[in-house]
Amino acid sequence: MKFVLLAAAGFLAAGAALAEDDGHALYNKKCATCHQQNGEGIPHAYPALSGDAFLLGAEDDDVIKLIFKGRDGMPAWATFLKDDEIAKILTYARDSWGNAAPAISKDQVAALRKTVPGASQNPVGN
Amino acid sequence: MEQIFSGALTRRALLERLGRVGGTAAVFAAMNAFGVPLASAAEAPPDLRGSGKGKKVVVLGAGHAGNTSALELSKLGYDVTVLEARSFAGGRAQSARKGFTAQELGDQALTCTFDEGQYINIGPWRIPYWHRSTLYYARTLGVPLEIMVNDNDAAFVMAKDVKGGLAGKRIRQAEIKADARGYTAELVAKAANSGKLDGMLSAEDKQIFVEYLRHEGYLKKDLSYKGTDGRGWVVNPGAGLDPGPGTQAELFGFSDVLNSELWKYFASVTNHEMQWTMFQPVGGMDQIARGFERHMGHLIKFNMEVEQIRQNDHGVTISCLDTKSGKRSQVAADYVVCTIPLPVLHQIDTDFSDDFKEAITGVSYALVNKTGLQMKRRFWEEDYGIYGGHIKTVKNGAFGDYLISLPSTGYASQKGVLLGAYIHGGAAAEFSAKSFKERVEYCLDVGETVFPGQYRANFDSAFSWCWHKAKYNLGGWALWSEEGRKTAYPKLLEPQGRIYLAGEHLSYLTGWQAGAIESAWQQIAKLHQHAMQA
Repeated sequence: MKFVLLAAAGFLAAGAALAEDDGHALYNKKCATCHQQNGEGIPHAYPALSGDAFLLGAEDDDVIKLIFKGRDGMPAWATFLKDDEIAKILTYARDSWGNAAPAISKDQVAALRKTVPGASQNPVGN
Repeated sequence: MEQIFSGALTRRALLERLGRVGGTAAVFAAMNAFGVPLASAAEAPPDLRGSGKGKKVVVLGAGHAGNTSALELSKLGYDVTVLEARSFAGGRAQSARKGFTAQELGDQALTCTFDEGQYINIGPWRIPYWHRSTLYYARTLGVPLEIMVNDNDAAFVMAKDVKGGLAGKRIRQAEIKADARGYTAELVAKAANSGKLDGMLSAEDKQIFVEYLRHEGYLKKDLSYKGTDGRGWVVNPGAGLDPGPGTQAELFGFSDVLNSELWKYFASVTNHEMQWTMFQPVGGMDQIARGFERHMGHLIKFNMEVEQIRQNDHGVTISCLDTKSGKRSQVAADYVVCTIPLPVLHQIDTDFSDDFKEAITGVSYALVNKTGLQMKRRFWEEDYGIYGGHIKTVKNGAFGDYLISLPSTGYASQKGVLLGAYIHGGAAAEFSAKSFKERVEYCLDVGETVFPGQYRANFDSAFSWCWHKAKYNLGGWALWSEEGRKTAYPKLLEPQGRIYLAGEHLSYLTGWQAGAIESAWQQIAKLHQHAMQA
């Protein structure tokens, strides 16, 4: 409801359509501003994904949930990314910069989306 | 219905009587007792008694929460020092003007080259009338306010990738509002009159309902909608015979109105946070920080980056780095008010309990970008009579539902800075991955969709700021999930030993200055209570 009302006030974010939608391109567009294109992150601000124990070692479900819910400076991506986009991005990040962890499927993401509570309030600005 | 009305009359009579006897204070107290909400929860600092003399408080951060804490605690006699990582105060309540530099994480930097006197509010930019706490400080710190035009019926709206005859047409908000409501009123009024709503309305109510719809939609006697003078004119009325009575603009078709989806930009009332009257400080939002500094600026130590927080039963020790001199030092305190944004606090070496540390990570912050464009000429004012407010677009190609905001200051002067981008969330991640040059091109491309041939031609200078790429912020504001509100939020409201957190993140007014101020008021009251008992 709140989202709708804010939208009525005119503060929807620009939702750019993606021309390229493979994991690499999606990562560069959506994640690289903080985690950097080389997966090295920004020290004392945003973690490196290259060799990241959580990304590579945690249960798949926990990794997906973190993307959905956000944490610290990372937004709750459930609001902004589709299931297949999250799957592609995670699969790319788990198989780049020396990382070698199994792919994440769209179905895994879709199954979990139902269990995650609604998106954060007030995602569209003050 | 009747009961509520007569109840209100009784209350009013009582309040008037109270006012005569006890003055406005009595009326306000009584109105609050009746549960009539007058303002955001707090409208003045807590009325704290006793003295804080002999006690040292260190405040981390010279934003509104920190400065509020420092000002009010120093009034009580506490010995207060504020440690601020940046070389200036105000936190997120900043205005970028000539010389202001964006040093983004990832090593991109841009210095603002606007003309003297021009600025863009890169953080908060509006103060709703009911944010009495923010208005309290504007008043008491001597910060003049002006109206922030948060809605403007004369402003252009445009729907692009939609069905119907309005697709791609630049129209004014008044036109779409009048037609959407007029046609709807006509439809419902006729349905009511022809008995289609019988059973949903009593016979007496039906009559007054139709009267209401006639009023709401400016309907004719036969309940048809044929437009209204407020909808807009091709030629405005004037003198003599030409223009004489003027010429009203043609109505749109109802189907075109519906399919335009432009109705999403208005509703019966604006949501609470966006309601009129909306204010802004004259000369920029940073004037509130300047106001604080006039009253407590001597307490602030700048360029002090907090590196470590340690405490025991007797006090707190803050270790910090002077980023100018490179010297490290320690400051001891009886109490600490910590207003550092949570993603930044998370990176600092503390001896908080594991539970508290986990709570600090229990929220995510908003990704936000603001980009201001200085224009050589106020073509929106001169050519179209649009003074402030927002240009709103729907399904505007790759730009989506996009907003451009016009300055609510300096009307009828030569140049002006408009808000060319206010982008959130996933789109902000993408936008911030662009170079400054690419961001400006993006903004100019959007602007050209509404002002073809004018927007780019009048462009002068740009400034872009991303809160999630600002070292000491790592985000625009706290975005609490329902789960986080239940688990982490209550924990962070409790002091961690002698350390009290405060800031917009510890309010239900996240991202608003009032949230920061009112959180500080609450937390210093707790701190003072503890200090008085110690």
